[in-house]
Amino acid sequence: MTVSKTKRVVLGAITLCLTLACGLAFAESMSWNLTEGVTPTSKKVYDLHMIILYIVTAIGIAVFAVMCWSIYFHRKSRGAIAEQFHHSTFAEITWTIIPIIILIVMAIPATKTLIFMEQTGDAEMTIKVTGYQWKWKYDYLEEDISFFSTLKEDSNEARQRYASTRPEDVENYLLDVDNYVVVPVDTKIRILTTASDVNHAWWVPDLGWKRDAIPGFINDNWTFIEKEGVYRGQCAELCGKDHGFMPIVVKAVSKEDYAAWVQEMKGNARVAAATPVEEIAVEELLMKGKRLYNSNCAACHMPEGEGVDGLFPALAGSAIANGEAEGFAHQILNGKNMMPPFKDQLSDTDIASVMTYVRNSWGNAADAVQPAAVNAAR
Amino acid sequence: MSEAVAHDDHHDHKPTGIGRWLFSTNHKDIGTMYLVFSLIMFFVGGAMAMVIRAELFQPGLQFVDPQFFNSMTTVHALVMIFGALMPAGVGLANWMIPMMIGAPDMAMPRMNNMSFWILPFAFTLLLLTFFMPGGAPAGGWTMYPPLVLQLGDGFPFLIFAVHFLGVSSIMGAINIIATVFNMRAPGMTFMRLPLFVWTWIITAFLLIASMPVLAGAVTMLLTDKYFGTAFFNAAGGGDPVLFQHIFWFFGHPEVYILVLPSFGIISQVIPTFSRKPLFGYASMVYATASIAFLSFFVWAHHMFTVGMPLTGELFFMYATMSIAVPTGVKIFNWMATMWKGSMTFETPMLFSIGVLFMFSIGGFSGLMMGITPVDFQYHDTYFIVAHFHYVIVPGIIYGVFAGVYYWLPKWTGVMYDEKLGKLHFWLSTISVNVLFFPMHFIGLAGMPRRIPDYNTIFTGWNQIISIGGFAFGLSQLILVWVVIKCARGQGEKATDQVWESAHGLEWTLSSPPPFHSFTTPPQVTDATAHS
Amino acid sequence: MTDNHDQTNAANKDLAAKNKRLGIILGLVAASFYIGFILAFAK
Repeated sequence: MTVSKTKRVVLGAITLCLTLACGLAFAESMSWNLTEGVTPTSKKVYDLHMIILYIVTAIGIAVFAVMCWSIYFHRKSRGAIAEQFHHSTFAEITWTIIPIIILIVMAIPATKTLIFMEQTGDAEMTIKVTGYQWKWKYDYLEEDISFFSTLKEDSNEARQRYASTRPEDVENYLLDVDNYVVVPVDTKIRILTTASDVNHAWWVPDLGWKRDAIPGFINDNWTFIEKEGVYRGQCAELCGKDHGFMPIVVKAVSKEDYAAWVQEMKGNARVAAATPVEEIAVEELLMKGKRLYNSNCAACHMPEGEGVDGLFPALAGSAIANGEAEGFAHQILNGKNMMPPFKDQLSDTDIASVMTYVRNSWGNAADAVQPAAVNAAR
Repeated sequence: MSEAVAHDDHHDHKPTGIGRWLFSTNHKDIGTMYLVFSLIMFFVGGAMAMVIRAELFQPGLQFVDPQFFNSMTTVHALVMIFGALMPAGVGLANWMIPMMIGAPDMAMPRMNNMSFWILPFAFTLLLLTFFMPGGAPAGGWTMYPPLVLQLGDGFPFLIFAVHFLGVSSIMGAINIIATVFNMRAPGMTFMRLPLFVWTWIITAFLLIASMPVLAGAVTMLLTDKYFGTAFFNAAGGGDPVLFQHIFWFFGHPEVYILVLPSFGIISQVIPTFSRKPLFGYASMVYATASIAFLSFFVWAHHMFTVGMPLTGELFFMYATMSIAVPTGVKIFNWMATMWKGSMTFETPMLFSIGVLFMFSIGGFSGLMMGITPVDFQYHDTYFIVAHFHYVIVPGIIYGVFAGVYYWLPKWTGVMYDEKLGKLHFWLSTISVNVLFFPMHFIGLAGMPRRIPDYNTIFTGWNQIISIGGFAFGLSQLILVWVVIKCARGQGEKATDQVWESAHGLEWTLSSPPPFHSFTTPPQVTDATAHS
Repeated sequence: MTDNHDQTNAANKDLAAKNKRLGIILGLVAASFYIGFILAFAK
């Protein structure tokens, strides 16, 4: 009996050591806790989180200690004889009142923080965030800057089944996008969230909150970033197939750099608008089209154009895709059913490239499309 | 509809063959069918969880596509909640309530039969969607529009499956209320009812109040998709957030529908193995009733990030925090029951103590999430997944396990294999913590829930979690083995009393009990009432 | 035994009626919640 007990203790100790060792080995690469973040809000939230974590841990230790004491000392095998008490009004009142007091202690800082977080007034600039299946659109309301932000190409390749690249080899796997949300530090920024198709949620942990983006609603939030840097987040509300693949990247820069970025963005827009629509070589259309297809279309119509049975039609062998250019362009520009309209998202050249790529891939063989044809279909 | 007692004149003739089960009006046979169904669904839902954990074992997509992954999380939840947890509770109620209150059978035995047989059909509808164009539901078990409206041909099947499940539970609830109200033995006053019966009456009222709300919400989804209404369609003047309010007005009471019977079970088990009466019987009843009442005023804590006015957020935060008070009272009462008792640790007691410890952990994280400003960070992350799995698996399922081990000797007439039972407990308890505890960490570190793939910083924990998941899944096979052994009569013969210190009417019947529980109602006094 | 039997039968009938009544009331409550909820939000 004693031998087996010793054995058990030794075995237990070995298991515990192994677990700890594994834990330590992993600990290097592992995150454990909420981020402190880079805004006044996130710091308040972190402090509140820690206070409550300490309180519940203390309560837990006390309660579990009493239970363990009881389990150890009041057991039959130790000769404990059961007492027969079964009621005490005093005890009942005590363990009703004490939790109420603890809850009130918790509620006070929680209420203060909540009121602080809801003060969305006197912001210096406003960004409207719109969730799409499955990308984000950002509108800088005062600056007339507007762009889409989608999962970066290298992540998108590595996340496919049977991908040739490994997630481990991609920097910021699934947390990188093509266009960053550039914002100035030390500025109160109002962030409006909404959506165009289904519910999404915009969440950057370092900012200290997330908020749903709901079609037909505009939610009001604010942030004030105190430190320059790149802050990454993800969509946090299930929004369909590629919910896990629409990250958010906020880049906080100095006010001067921000002003320069705004100028650059506006310059780019003017150049794009001014460039005359001209004939583009088919090779160039195909190359550009493949890239755009993978970031805009492949999520539904699949990388090999086979679609998803019953949900998203196949493009390989499709009558529309291989048919007259005007009808195909129309569908892309205006959308249909679940497909969103792309007329505001992509330029004529972009759409012509995608069309050319689709019409010359996966066994499809139709003629190339030039930007002018798309422009005519608008 | 209600001829329970008339049947009893025919004494102990047991129907045989498949007809015994198909046309059964016997509370024990129907209870058995509920429990077997629940066990099967537990493994069906568990298999889906295994797919999820296999896919999440490493970053990148290895086994399934994102759409199918979403179906797995969605249907796993629906199967576990409506197929495994609720039928388990109803099955135990069917078996035990008539025996505990001194009744011959349930009040409405034919309706009892129907409420069971609806379930296999409902789940056939639900699981058939896997073979339909557009696939199985993938918009989350909460069925939020507009996303759920994108589901293909499976959509009406999902809606009608939910309707059927609702009808089944409402009929079950009506039956339980009628049984307890009308069929108690003489002397069995309400304040002498065993706690398990009390928790079930309260649960039954919660069901009647909340299931129609869910049925209403999904009906509105159906008309929105097919009949041009715009309840939840913003473009048509509707409100997509309204669905979330209605859903959680059902959804939060549903949480207590699942957990209260489990509370009831451990309130039977802990006194037996502590050899001491339950501490604070009356306060337990009042605490249960207040939890049930409060559960209708906290729904919006499931949707703090939806963008509510400040006053709304404050109200729901305070209301949510206040639920901790009656829940705490229950935990303290169980502690006081064990205090200065003379405890032994048979399998039912081990599982009950497991509930005390691990449900508390789930309660603590629940309290943290009730704090609105911090929930803006926790919401829709693995922290939430950790929380509700802690309350569901070692909270509710452990309670059901405790009940099964506690009453199995009574049902079958033979003792279960204590060694296997203890092995089941220890393997489950180690693996369930390896499975769910690290989810707190990855949630806090920023991993959203319901994603099929993740950044490589989460790899380590996800691998540990998956290993815990596989181990927990395998450990449950021991339960099947234990149950099969008992059902085949392999084991030591059980006495009528079964447990040294068990009190209550069910232990006065033979093991196994006669086909019709109490043909002559027993006289109940304070001395023979609840422990 | 026979006398007893008749008495139990009468008691059983009473009980069956009581059960039925309670069942119908609760069923109606559930049904009216269902319809009420939909009507409350129908415009």
